[in-house]
Amino acid sequence: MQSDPVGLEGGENGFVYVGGNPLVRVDASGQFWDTVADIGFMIYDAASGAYHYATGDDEAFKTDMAALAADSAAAVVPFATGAGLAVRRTKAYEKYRAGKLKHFFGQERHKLDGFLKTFKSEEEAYDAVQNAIEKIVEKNGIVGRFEETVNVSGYPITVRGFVDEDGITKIGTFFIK
Amino acid sequence: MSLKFYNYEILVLKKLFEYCLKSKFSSFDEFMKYFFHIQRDINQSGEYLFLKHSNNENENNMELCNYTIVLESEDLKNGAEFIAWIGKNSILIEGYSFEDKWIKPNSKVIKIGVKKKT
Repeated sequence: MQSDPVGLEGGENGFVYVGGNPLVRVDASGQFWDTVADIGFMIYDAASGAYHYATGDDEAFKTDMAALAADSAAAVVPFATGAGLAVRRTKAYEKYRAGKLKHFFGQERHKLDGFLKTFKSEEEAYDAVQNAIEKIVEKNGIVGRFEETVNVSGYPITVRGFVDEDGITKIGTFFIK
Repeated sequence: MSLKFYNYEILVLKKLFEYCLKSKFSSFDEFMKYFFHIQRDINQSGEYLFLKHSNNENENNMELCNYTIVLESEDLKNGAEFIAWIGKNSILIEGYSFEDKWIKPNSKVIKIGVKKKT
């Protein structure tokens, strides 16, 4: 049993939020459901973790444990929920980005070795191409699929991409012909 | 030796044969028999499908076919594209999507078409 965690700003009676009867009533619209959601996420994280541990998927297991830690922390912070989902999304984006970088730079046929050497990292080179192509897309009012050649660090980079319905430029691949 | 391909890969191979490789082989079957080895690399953002007749290939000399295969599947809203790098003894088909996922192996193909570079 706990007085209203919102404090006296919620009224002088700390149990008004449960109808003044903390023994049989609960906060039906506030933190109670927030905590229930967090516990639900934690059960999911633990079950997913157990499955991935059993199947030997170390990477997925680590993500499950990071999500579980985030959801556990969120359970004790009022009105914070979905932290585990945020962790999962971040991990998914990192994996996607790593896949993209491998796709762009790991191929001899793309002839990007010289270009890559002008940057400190693959991430930096990718960002430079993304920035350059976004300028071309905006300047030429491109929508849908496109192939454009942009000059980045003195290299003519052919970019295959797509401008989606939200106007976001997505690169499929790029290379030097 | 019979090579195993996913359904969507066979559709892409047929289009690539028709538009990029017809002059080199008398039929699609002959084209498929020419390659004895495949090397497949799939991740979230795309796929590399390497068909080899031999390992004797200078990859820097592979030429890009002028046609792009555009495929729409039930699990990729913005579709995927495939381009073909053609060498002396091998062909590499490069597929990429515009989303943070790649086609599921048995996903239903809704539409497949060809786009010529302008």
